[in-house]
Amino acid sequence: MATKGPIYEAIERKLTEKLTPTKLEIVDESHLHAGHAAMKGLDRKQETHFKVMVESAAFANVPMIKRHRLIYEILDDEIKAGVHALSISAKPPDPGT
Amino acid sequence: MQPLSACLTAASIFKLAFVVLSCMAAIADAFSLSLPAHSSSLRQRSPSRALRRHTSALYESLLDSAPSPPEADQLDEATRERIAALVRENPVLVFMKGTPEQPQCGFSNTMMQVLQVCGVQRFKAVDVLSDERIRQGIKVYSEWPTIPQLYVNGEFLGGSDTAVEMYSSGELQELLEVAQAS
Repeated sequence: MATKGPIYEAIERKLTEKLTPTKLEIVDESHLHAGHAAMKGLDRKQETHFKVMVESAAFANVPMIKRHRLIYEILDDEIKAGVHALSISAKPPDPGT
Repeated sequence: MQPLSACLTAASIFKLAFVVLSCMAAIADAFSLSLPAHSSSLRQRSPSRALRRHTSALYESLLDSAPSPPEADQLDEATRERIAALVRENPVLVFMKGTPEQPQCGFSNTMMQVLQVCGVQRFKAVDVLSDERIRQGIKVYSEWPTIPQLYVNGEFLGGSDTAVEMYSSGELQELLEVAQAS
């Protein structure tokens, strides 16, 4: 995808502000799901599916499910705005680096 | 002087009549303000069938697309008890889109693959696409906005991402072994 949509930018801004990540990668995968039955009737440019990979010290000693819940809370507005699915990888920084 | 006083009297009468008529017009105006709302609702009844059809189609497409926010009012007591009973009675429980044989979503398919690779013999799969109250209710119950959702031994373990990570770490297999033995 050449341009970042408003939801992409909101995700990037909020995760950066709240988690101060050492690594952050966001991939808009909406175009991969545009033909699915559940996406019928939607504009193909709508941002509906994202993959988010976050590395942050905020996740140290936090159980995985709580890391995911934290990201869902941070992105609650975006989910309400129409993000249909969020694939999450959330890890603390590798202690070896 | 009589004609003059008569004129004055007539003028007074006209003036009074003018004032009364103005008041009546003002009252009529005030009364008529309430009519458009009523008449517009009357007007809306005739074209509403087409509007309803269009709105219905749009609503259906939105229903399938965007997940509803987990609001407290989307989980009534009866649904909460149904979900609680499912969690209580099934050591391995998945809320998914579609069925294990025909998942209707990539993430639900991934969940099925993980359970299969873990060698799970018995598990309960609930197709949320067939029950809108369950579909929205589990988002409130689990405090988790997406589907699929996995419960093992009454404990919520998240969605397909967490299932894959826990499988990679070996943690999922341990939990499933305990659940299958129960």
